[in-house]
Amino acid sequence: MKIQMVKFGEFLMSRPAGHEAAQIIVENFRPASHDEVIELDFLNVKAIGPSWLHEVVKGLRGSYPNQIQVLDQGNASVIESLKFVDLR
Amino acid sequence: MQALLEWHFSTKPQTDNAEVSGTRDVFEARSQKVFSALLKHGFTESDASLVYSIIGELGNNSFDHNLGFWRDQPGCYFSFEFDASGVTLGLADRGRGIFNSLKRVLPELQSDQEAIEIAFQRVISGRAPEQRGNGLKFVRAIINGNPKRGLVARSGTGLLACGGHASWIATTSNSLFSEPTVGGTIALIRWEKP
Repeated sequence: MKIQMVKFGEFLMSRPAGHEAAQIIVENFRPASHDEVIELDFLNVKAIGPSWLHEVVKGLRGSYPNQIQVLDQGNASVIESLKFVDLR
Repeated sequence: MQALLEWHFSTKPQTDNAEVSGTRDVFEARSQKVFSALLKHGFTESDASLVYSIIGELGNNSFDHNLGFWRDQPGCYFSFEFDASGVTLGLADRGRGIFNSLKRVLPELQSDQEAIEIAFQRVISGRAPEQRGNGLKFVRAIINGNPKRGLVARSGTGLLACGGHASWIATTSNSLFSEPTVGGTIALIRWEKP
């Protein structure tokens, strides 16, 4: 299951915004099974912060045991933020 | 940067400075402008992305840790100035400062200096029991060790400097060090083009 993160905005910053995004994902993007990988695709996103990403991963983890993968698309802020967020 | 420094260090109550983003939404709308401005001034998309992300972390930290604790004017003062070789960015608030925020979760904390070093170097949250607190560590990691980047942050008497251009900031913004202690936190960033 691939989620296009740009649909949440080109700039993805702040904990409250990340928390809100996580709630929307949990309510609207339900994986078909526990085996399905949840892919967060950052294509066309301009910049993110680790606090935003942390809230999204935390929100997903609270609802689904599925593996989470981040498709960074070469975005420097996504690559650096991933160093501070545990996807497990 | 002078106006930002004067606002932050003023001993007189501050109430209506229009440069200050009083809410998170206003700050985010203003800070997003830095991304296109960086591209317009010849920075790479990668640099623009990283600059925006550290500005976002620093500015949002003001709101995360100071809601209900502003000394007077609520919000975050953000400004940036371009020159031929790069950009200087500043963020400041008149909140409670890092020591008072961290003291709740680290009661053994002794000083502003200890607090600012922990905030930028150790994963800990000032809003227990929430498991968070990587934002400032992320900011330091992006700048530290890079000769073309620099950060100087001050909270109370605590000072933190990293990156090759920290000394450049110290030279050009001497009042960051010389002004008497006030509440809140201020950070200046220098980022030069590749």
